[in-house]
Amino acid sequence: MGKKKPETQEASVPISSMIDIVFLLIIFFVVTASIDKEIEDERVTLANAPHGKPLTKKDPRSVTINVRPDGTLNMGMYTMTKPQISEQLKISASKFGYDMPIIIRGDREVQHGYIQEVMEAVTDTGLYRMNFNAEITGTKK
Amino acid sequence: MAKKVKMPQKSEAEIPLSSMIDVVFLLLIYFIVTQKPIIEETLLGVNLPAPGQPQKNNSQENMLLKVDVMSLPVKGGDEIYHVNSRPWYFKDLVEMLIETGKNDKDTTIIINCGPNAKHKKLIRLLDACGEAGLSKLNIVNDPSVKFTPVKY
Repeated sequence: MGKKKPETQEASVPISSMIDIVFLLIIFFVVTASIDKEIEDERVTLANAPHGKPLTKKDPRSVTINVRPDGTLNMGMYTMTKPQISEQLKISASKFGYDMPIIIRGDREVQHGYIQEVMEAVTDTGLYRMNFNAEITGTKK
Repeated sequence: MAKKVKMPQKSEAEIPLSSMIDVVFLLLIYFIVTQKPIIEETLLGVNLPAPGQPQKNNSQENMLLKVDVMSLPVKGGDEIYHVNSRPWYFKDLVEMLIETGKNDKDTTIIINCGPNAKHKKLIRLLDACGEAGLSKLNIVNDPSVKFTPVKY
């Protein structure tokens, strides 16, 4: 009479808890992916301003104009010329008022002449609240 | 004798998890790859004339900071700025600005930025003014310098 062999149990990996963690990670990444990213041009590398105050709250009316290293002007994901920017600013100013803040996101290497063009477009429109966007890095004194 | 009808065995309903896990992992990889480090940003404000506000010509009373267009990194990479036509190393300029800020925070700084100067140079100066607590900053353009765009 032959000996009865013990039943072998199938080794299984506990998948359910792993899926829970993976889902949590996905939710985290979805939530932290900023919606504002579309107004920030990826080709623009900001200059450093280590002593600047961290930006906590942004005026929802603010308009961001990106100036790429080659001087290309970009506003709301669209490449624009100086007259087009002036036109857009006029429309925005008539809607939101002339105290609407303008943020210039100039590349660190761009020549000031291109920034000057944007500044002229802003002043021609009659807007007077203008800010330069910079990155807080480096060591503080 | 009545014959018993054998009922078919019920099989357990299963959701195909393996393909879902594949998709979920792909999503996870996508988000990890596209995730960018959070960069702290700041805004450096400058004064522009408000509509209807008369422009005062009081440059004689104010300090004039001129961002030199042709300045090249010297002395261990330090840049030169011109204050009232006198050259200053950036390190010394920061000290001077801090001293000015201590004496009078309402000092108006007129920054004459040349069109060929790099933007980071202006930001560096604005940051130094901010560090010194000086907030009355005006940027003027230098019409005497011709803008020569660098081709990319």
